[in-house]
Order: sequence, then structure tokens, then C-alpha cells
Amino acid sequence: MGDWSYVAPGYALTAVAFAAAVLRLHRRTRADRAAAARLAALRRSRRTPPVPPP
Amino acid sequence: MTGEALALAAKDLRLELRGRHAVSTVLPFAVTLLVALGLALGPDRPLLRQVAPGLLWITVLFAAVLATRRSYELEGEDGALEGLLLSPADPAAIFLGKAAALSVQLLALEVVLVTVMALLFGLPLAAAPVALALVCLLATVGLAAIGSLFGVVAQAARTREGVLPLLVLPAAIPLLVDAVRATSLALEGRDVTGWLGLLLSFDVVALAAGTLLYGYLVED
Amino acid sequence: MATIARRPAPQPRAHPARPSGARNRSRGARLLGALCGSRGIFWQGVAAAVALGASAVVSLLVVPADAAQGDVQRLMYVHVPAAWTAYLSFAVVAFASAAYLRTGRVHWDRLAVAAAEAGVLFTGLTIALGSLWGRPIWGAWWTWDPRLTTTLVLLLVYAGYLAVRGLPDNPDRGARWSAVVGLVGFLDVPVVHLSVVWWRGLHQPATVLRPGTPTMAGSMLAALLLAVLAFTLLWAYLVAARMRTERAAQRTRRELLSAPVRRGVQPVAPVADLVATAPTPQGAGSHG
Repeated sequence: MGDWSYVAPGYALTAVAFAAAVLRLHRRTRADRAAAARLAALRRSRRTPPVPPP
Repeated sequence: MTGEALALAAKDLRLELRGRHAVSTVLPFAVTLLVALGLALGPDRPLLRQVAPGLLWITVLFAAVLATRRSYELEGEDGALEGLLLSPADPAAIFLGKAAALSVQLLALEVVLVTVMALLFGLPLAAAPVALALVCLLATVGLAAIGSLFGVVAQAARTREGVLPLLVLPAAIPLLVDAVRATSLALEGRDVTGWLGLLLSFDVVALAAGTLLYGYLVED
Repeated sequence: MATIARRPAPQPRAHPARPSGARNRSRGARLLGALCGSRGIFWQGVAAAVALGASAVVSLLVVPADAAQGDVQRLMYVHVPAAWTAYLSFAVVAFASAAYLRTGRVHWDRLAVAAAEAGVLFTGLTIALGSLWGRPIWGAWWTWDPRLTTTLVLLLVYAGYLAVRGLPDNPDRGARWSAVVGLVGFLDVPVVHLSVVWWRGLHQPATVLRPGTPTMAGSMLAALLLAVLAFTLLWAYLVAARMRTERAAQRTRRELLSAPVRRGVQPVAPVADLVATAPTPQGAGSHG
């Protein structure tokens, strides 16, 4: 057994950094999808013809 | 193009002479910074003499950021920069004119700062006046080119003041290293030709890059 | 009216014409397109995860410890690949920035911003891992070595690149500004390196960090190559996925602009900053 006290934090740091980057991208992708869906809903609501006044 | 650049530089300098922003704000700021740095380091004279070139160029760097901001603040008022862009002047000429005006202002500032440093920090200025002047000239031209290029950003960054230094300082790191080393070598009376060459090549690259890229920064 | 007509009509930067099918696309372009598709990105992520896992096992458990440095040397299998991807990002940012300025095609800007964000991650990681390795070997977290200093400046350049993007109201202009920053940084970094080499050279010989000595054992070299491959795959995944989100955001923005805005409807949140950038309809004033 050698000296792992620098190796372990190094690998842990790498893993955490990668996980954080991937998670951030996923959150972003989800947010983009939500925005697109909201936009589509908005456009649909615009397309509906206005109810003529009686 | 040279004529346009010179006319623009003259315009900037005239504005400075009338507004006296550099004299009333940048110069007192720079001198205060030097005094504060001296106080922070204590009265140890050999130490002060050793670190003086570094302090000098750090101060010039900060002063250059302030002067750049001011120069473009004026252009932001009343759409002055839009006016310049609509004029038939080449964007490259605007860049060169601004760089020239900034260079003149910074050189004037450096004369005062070097004198103040000589008095406060005991710099042996007489050791190599020519080398020192060349170092100042070359470093200032490069610094002014960087400021003139990135200053465009300062206009949009009014609410985020840190962006201009964030761009200028990393870009100016080679200048800082070269100028500080060259200054301290020159004060020791040693040869600085290599460092001057490095500064000169930086200037050439910075001016060429600015001339080519300035149009992309300001076009719409 | 005259002022509008004077300038050539702006190229539809944000709206590159959708190619009608894969007409004359080369094989490489088709492969690239497949990699940037949804499925391609997913499988890139899977490949990166598998390769990273394998690389971790190999470099921590399989490869023997270094004779001189002991187990600490295992940091090489993350530090060196991180540095490689950091410099790869940097080159890609510079290349894509130049291509964007030349062609005005918005996909180059997407590539540049994706690479810059990956660059921040990998450059930061390189510096942190280098510190962790340097502490036991040189006894210091940091030395003013040219390579270390240059890497740090690289991080600052990326920070400037990303800071400039959001600055102007007009996203198109933000893209151009950041492209200029990316290019200037590319010119600057070699000069930084040279300056620091000279600066150190006058004091003392520069500490040359040779993580991979030429006489590296075969198994170590294989482990290193595997790690480089794994990091490159992750880099490609991050860049491709980031480009996709950027494209989605741009598409949403474009749809918002093209949709007829009904009076009285409060638009969804992002519209607020879009209205300002909407191109003014020509002749809006004429039909009062």
C-alpha cells in the first residue's frame, strides 16, 4: 500500500466534477424542452379563433 | 486611413484636454495606489527598490483600465460611437485612433508615475534613461491596443464593471511580465534588447489583431 | 428608409437554411451529423461512461505503482488527459470563433461556446489535479512554472469568453464579441508562455514537468492512452449535448420572434429579452 492520500481526493474530485457537468447539462436540456412545450401551448392558444361577441 | 486615425486620436485628446478626466481622476488614483502599495510593504528601502518595477506596472495597468473605460464612456453618450461608425471612416482607423490617444495619455501618466516612484522608492532613474523610455513606449502601445480593442465591451458592461478588467488583465499578462523584467534589468544597467524585442512583437500582434477584429466588435 | 436600404440586408445568421436532406454531404459530415443527433449523443454518453469506468479501474488497480513516485503517480492518468482536453477545447474555441467570424454561420458559435464551457471544466480540473500531484512531489501546491501559469491564464481567457457572451442585448453581437475574445486569447496564450519561460529562465532553470518520461513502461502508456480516450469521449459528449441545448434555445427564440404576438397576452419569460432584439419590421412607420 502506498500513499493514497492525494490520489483518492484527485479521483473523487474528477468524478464529482464530471457528474456535476453532466447533471447541469441534463437540467439545461430539460429546461429547454419545457420552454419549447410552453411555447407550443402558447401558440396553440393563439390559433384558437376568438369567440365572437353575441 | 492614417489620416482618419490621426483625426480620431486628435479628437480624443482634445476631449481629454477639455474634460481633464485623466488629470483629475486617473492620475490621483494611480498616485494613491502607489502610496498605498508603499505603505503596505513598509519602509524597507532595498525591498521597495526591488519591487518598484512590479508596482509601477501594476499601477499603469489599473490606470489603463480606467482610462479605457473613460474613453469609451464618452463614445457611449449620445450615440457618439454609432455616429463614428456611420461615417465613412474605416473601423480599423477608429481602433488605431483610440489606441494612439490612449497611448499618449498613458505615456503622460507614466512620466508622472516614474518621477513619483523615483522620489518615493529611490529608483536610480539615471542608470538607463533610453532603455527605460523604450520599455515604457513599447509596453504602453501594447496596453493601449488591448484597451482600445476591449474597451468596446465596457460600454455594454456598465452594470458589470468587472468584465473589462477580466478581459484586459489576462491579455496584458505578457506585457506585465516583459515590462517588469525589462524595467528592473534596465535599472540595474543591464542589457534589455531581448525583452524589447518581445514587447515589440507583442505590440505588432496586438495592433494587427485589433485592426483585423475591431470591425467585428462594432458592426451590427 | 434610406438608411435601412444603404446597408446590405443582414445575412440570416440565426436562421441557417435547413438543408433539404443530406444532399451532397460527405461521409465525415454525415458521421458528424449522426454524432450530434439525439441518439448519437446518448451513445456517446454511454461510451464515455464505460471508458471512464474502465480507465479508473485500470489506472487505480491494474497498473503497477511508479517505482520512483509510488501510488501518487496514479494522478497522471487523470491529470494528463484533463490537460489534453483543456488544450483541445482551447484550440476548438479558437478555430470555431474564427470560422464564425468568417462565415457568420451560427453553428460555429454553438461549437465555440460548447467547447469553452467544456474548457472551463477541464482546465479547472487540470489545475486542481496538478496541485494535488505537485504537493507531494515538489512540496508545493503551486510553482510559477510556464506550463502551470499558461494553463491558469487559459482559465481566465475562458472566463472572459463566457462573461462577454451575455453582455450585449443582442445575442448575435454577444456571439461576435466572444469570438473576438476567443481569438485574441488564442494569440495571447503562446506569448504568455514565452514570457514566463524567459522570466523564469533569468532566475533559475524552469522546472520541467515531464509527467510521462520517455521510458514509460508499456502498461503505463496503455493506461494513459485509455484515459486520454475516455476523457476525449466525455469531452465530445459534453460538447455535443451542449450544442444541442444551445440549438434548442435558439430555435425557441426564433419561434417566439416569428409568432404573431397577440395584443394583451403576457409572453412567457424569455420573450422579455427577445422583444428588444426583434428586428424592426421594415416600413412599420408607413402604414400607420
